Amino acid sequence: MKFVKKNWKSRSTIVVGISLLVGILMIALEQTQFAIDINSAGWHHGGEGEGRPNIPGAVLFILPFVKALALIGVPLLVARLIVNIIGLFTRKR
Amino acid sequence: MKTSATTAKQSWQDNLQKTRFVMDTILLVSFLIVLAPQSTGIVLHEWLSLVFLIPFVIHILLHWHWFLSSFKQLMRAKTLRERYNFVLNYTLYLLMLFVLVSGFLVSVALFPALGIPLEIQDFWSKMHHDSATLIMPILGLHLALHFRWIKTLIVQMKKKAVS
Ligand code: HEM
Ligand code: HEM
Repeated sequence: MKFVKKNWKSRSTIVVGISLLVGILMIALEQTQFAIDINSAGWHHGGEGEGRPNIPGAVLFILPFVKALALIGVPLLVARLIVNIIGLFTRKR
Repeated sequence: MKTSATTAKQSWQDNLQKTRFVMDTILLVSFLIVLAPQSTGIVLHEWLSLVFLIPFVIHILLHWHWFLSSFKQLMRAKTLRERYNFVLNYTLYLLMLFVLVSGFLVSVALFPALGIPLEIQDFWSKMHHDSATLIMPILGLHLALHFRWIKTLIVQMKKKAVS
């Protein structure tokens, strides 16, 4: 833990302080026309009020994790693929 | 060759890269849990997001030097990879903040439990949904950039000795 603990108090204070500051600034975005438009048009999720889908509970539990892993994993693999293809052409020179 | 006496005392905590690997794993697992509120339920989602802040801050602490030198390095950056890494890391940071801020602003359990009144705007609901969706592929790109490091560390973690 020595690497985590190195100056952790002052450093965490800086990180949290900056993040708090930037975070509070982000709240100002609700004043933009973009936000006003969305608020006046209204927004809600798809799928609400359609009742429970006919899928076993265990699958329903796993599915969000599968979704997250896919949304992280597919771009990861595509990026690796592109890097490898570029590598094929550049490494030979 | 190291004697078993010296290797036995050493653990992942004595090695910066291994410390990072262990903390990164915790970070990834906790992030995945926070990414699935449909499985955990919204109340748990909100409290777990708070817990998630700890591995998140630790991740920044373990790359303190990168952040300190990041702007100077960008000026000197020679490779496309360095510039891309800079943009990606700061995008990820700002996006993570945005997910957290919008999450707090649509809180249905945390703020009410703390007695803070909150009128939820559709705008922030949409922002929380959209930014939480967008951060996943960005994280994929972040991990892709460190893929070789991850593979190396998996091999190193299997060996007992700290190299
Ligand atoms: C939330 C899930 C995240 C995971 C699983 C993750 C994982 C990783 C991994 C595996 C590495 C390379 C290994 C290492 O040196 O530790 C890394 C490096 C790094 N990450 Fe993350 N990361 C995440 C989020 C973030 C965020 C939000 C930021 C921005 C604040 C960030 C900033 C960095 C930096 C600056 C580096 C070092 C880059 C370098 O040395 O070139 N990470 N991360
Ligand atoms: C790293 C931080 C966070 C991530 C990655 C994250 C991710 C998500 C995701 C993926 C959803 C589902 C969105 C949807 O399908 O519409 C969600 C919903 C929600 N999150 Fe978060 N969240 C985070 C932080 C927070 C925080 C800090 C809070 C409040 C204290 C929060 C409160 C909520 C609420 C109330 C919902 C349901 C809102 C709705 O359905 O419109 N989240 N979050």
